[in-house]
Amino acid sequence: MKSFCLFKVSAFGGNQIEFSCRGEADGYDVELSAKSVHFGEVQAEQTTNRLLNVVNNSDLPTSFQFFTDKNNLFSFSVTEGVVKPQSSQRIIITYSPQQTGNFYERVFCLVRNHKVLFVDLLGTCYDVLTKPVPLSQRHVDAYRHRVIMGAHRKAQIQSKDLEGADDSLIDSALDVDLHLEIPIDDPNQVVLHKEMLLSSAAQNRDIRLSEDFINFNFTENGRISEARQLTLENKFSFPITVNWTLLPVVNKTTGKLVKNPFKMLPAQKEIAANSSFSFECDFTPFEVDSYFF
Amino acid sequence: MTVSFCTDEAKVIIASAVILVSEGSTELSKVLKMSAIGKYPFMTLDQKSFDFGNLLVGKTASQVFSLQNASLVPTKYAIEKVNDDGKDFAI
Repeated sequence: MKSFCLFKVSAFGGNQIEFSCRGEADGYDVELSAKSVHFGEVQAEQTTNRLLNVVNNSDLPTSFQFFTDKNNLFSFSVTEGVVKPQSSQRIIITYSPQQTGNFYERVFCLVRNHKVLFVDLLGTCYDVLTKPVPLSQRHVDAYRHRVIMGAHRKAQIQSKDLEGADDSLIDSALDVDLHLEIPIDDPNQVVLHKEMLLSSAAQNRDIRLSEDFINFNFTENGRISEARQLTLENKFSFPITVNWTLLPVVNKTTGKLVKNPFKMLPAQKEIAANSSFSFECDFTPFEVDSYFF
Repeated sequence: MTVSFCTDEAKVIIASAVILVSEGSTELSKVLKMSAIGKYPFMTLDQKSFDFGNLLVGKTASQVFSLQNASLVPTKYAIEKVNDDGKDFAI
């Protein structure tokens, strides 16, 4: 940002002189060591790790924060911190899939006095019976490109007219010429901010939840709370399979991993194209005088 | 006896004061000539613009400038901001 300031010197009973100051502020030079981290094909209930560095090429320390939960399918060893000048912070990302499928998440990183950074995380999970076609960054880029170009919705509207049209995210992405040069290396910051702050309940989401946040208020220890409904709307022109994976959490008293106090029912459900389904969410706290998130 | 001088103009002033001293019937007069020059203060700066170039956010850069009183009289002065785009400058 550029700054300009005009000053006036007044001598009492005498003359006045004006002088100006100008300068330009430079943001920090911070980057992530990778824009995309691929975990490859991992067997169900196994884990694999990848390294990601937050590199600070500036002369001053800077703080960063990743917009993700620590207990995620892709979990970060560090989600926030300070990187020293001309240094880097090493982060271990652990991928622990529980069920077969392709997994993708874009995680945003906020850096002070810097534009928004992001990293795409991809992984495929298989077991003895099921081995999905691996998802690659190319598919994600192609799909995003389609969305940016507006071709995505157009295709959905067209396919509504075609009875029995079989489609999927990968198919949808593959429709785009993959040899095409996709100009999304440095996406617009406004677009990135919009995506980062887009609520799960936003109307323009293709897969939309009815609630962004469910609060169970007070629930007696060990008792099951009153079930709350959460409706998931699939606006895609193809069916989607929803898997609710609630990872075990650490009991702070015993230090052991215990079952997640929240539960989604049914845990797995296929939702037809352009339809919605209501899930039930329960809460069973395992510790008194505690907050659960 | 104190004589003071105060002017609001830059000019040369010459004045005479007649002092009458009387003792009985004898009267004596004395003339006191006074002169003074009224002057405006005049300040100058060695630089009228300061370019700080590019600077990393959080860092501070300084530049020194000289404010000179080119007149023969001492003066008080004040420096104030006329406008400030970024509120980033301070004196």
